[in-house]
Amino acid sequence: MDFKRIYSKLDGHTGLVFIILAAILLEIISVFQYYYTRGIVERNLERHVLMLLSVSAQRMDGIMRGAETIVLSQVWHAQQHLDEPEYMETLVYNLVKNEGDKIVGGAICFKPNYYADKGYWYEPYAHQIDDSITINQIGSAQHDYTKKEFYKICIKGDTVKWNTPYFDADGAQNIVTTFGVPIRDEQGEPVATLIVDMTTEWISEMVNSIHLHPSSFTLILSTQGQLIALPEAELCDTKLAEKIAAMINDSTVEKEKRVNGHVTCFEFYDEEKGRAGHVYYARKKYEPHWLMVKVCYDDEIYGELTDMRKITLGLSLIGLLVLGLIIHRFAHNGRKLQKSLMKQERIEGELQIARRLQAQMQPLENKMVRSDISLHGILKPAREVGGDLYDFFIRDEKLFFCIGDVSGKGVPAAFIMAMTQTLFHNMALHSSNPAHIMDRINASACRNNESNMFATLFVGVLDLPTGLLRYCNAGHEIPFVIGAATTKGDATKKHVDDSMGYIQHLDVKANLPIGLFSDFAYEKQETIIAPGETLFLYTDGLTEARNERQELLGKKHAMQLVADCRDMMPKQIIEAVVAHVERYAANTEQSDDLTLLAIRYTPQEEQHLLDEELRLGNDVKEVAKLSTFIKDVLARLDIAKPLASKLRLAVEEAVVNSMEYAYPADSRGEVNLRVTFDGKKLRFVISDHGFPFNPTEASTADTTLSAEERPIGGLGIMLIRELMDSINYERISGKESTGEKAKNVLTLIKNINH
Amino acid sequence: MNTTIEQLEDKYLVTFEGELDTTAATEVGEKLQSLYTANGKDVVIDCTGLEYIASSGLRILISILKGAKAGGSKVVLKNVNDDIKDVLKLTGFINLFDLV
Repeated sequence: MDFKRIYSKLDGHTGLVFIILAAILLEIISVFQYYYTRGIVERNLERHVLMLLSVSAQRMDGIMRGAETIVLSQVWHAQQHLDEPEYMETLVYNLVKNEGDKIVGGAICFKPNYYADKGYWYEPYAHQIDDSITINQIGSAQHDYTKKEFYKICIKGDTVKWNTPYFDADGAQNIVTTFGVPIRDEQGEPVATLIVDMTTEWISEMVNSIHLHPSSFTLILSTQGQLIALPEAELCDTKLAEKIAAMINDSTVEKEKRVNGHVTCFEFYDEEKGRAGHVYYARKKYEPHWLMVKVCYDDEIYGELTDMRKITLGLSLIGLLVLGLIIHRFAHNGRKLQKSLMKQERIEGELQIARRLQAQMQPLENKMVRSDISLHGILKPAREVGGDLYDFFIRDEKLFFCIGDVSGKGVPAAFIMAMTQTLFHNMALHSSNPAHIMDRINASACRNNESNMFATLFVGVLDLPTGLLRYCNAGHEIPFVIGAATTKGDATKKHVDDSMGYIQHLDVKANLPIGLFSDFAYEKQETIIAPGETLFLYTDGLTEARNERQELLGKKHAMQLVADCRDMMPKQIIEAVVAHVERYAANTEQSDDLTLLAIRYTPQEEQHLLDEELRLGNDVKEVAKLSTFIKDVLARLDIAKPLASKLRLAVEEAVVNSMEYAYPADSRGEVNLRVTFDGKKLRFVISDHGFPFNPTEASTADTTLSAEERPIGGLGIMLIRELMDSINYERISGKESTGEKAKNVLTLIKNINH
Repeated sequence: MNTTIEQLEDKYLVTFEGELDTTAATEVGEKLQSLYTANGKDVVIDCTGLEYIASSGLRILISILKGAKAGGSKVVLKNVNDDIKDVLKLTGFINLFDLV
């Protein structure tokens, strides 16, 4: 029942709580994961930025070193040809002649008046414009190079390693940065400076050629913090570039060192684009020690991460929804299952009650302690309730019994079974003719039988004083009659083996099962059951028992089985047969209801202590003789007055009944009375040869009616029933062979306890 | 079986003596036929000497009772012995008659 508890707790409410808890947990995990991953992304980005900046710096350095080498390679030539002023034009030409080295201008600036014929200023300048090189002497009062910073430094003997870019209006007419070295004379005195101008456009192009993100970009600041290179305006306008440069130069802006201090980082907000971003920068290792600045926007840094988080969240929400649905279905199914479990339990409980009720319908054998009959019955339903039935009871010294099998199994069959048994009992109270009983059961069973249920039924009425069996079969299995070895049966009966008892089928007309045709006329049959013979009745649960190989037990086997039990008493017969069937059908489910009924007829040889007879004419005046006879007999038996008076009354009523009803008015006839006593039972047998008249079937008087309502008749039979212990009526057929006439036999029995 | 019937001013006095079996009932029935029809008088039946009664005797009693009831009078049974009382009980007649 743990199942039920789980299911009962898993209602929709719990499911919802479960989902919410799971969602919260998932969200916590997701947030943790997000920030953790964000850290990883940031650290990766910083390393990446550093790497990119380093690569850019190396490329810049490579180009600048190249330019420097060109300059240095010309220093020796310049010193060798100091005495050839015209050679200087070739020299500067050589500085700029190479394509791709980004050198737009090369010059040599001499001390004022170094060459007498060249004037105060002498500066041959080679200028490369669109693949053509022009060489001019540009030194003049307007272009007084002696006032330029790089000249002042170089002429002192120092080297200018790429100054802060400036607009060179006289030479390159572009923003350039200058590299300069001194040219010394033979005495080692600086006499001129050899310089190259390099544009800075390519720097910006180069450092912005690799993008980390679509809108990230790189700036370069001079050693003094001035903007040297900035990307195309689309990525970064001057305003933004200046703002970033100002922030870098502003010591109050909080900055962090990253990647072992190689990179400095701070956050910024681009108001114009409305985007937050990170600025990373590092100083170039080699000269010029410019600042390389990388700007990245957060939405691009974390874009994929945010997307991933959204997808993860979405997926987990879908997962939770699915889980929720599953839990809901589970809980729903659980409730359904629980309901059906409860329903099943209830049905099972009711079936158990039905089973008990059905068991209670079985006749009680211990109520029938008689010396002239021994019987035993059993009903083993295949399911909780079954469609088999059997019943028996004694009325008026007659054993009424039946056995039947309703088509189908289970509850529907049980209903019909209960109805049929009740009908049998009620009908048998009013008639001793099995065909009449069958007709009336059939008529009732056919009424409203829309489901076409039918039943096979065998009804028997065994007259105990005579052994006359009247029976009627409605399509039921044919009963066996078995005789023990000691039974003095009919000589024509088939013997099992060397005259040691016998078994045979009762001679039975099949007729039709009940419940099919209400107007079917059932036929009564008769036979005599000899003392010691046993009637064995069964349902198809015996012949159709199946073993493990699904083989039927079969009629032949069943007959042999019963024959083997012929010397046993009914209880032992039934037990032996049931045990055999159980062995046969071991390890298999019982396939059909099994019902067995064995009836052994055991009348005792009577030892009469008294046996008297009286013949009377059918005239009430003869009753006087009867009174004298009865008083005399009872006196001889020492029967006290109150009882004697009652017995006399009962016998007188029976005799008068016979006189009045057996013969038509004014016809002559005889009524015979025989009184016997065996020490226990006092028997009065009243017989006549009149018309068949069964007083036991006449209705008895209703003692609750008032004087006006009381009919005159019915008093006699009522008194007989009240005064005697048992009565029995039999119509004995005549025998043509002996000329014996048919007769009515009424037996009254009183148990005498002295 | 001896039966007497005496007509007093306000009632009939009947005495039964002996055994009222089926044979006797034929005679007694004829003798008491006059009491079967209503005449408004009570009937007192003295049963002191009645030793036995069969159903035919009971029918006579019920016929008398029906006559008396139709006339608005009653039937009284006097001194009924125990055996006969048992029979009256069995048949339910004990409720129909006044027993004294």
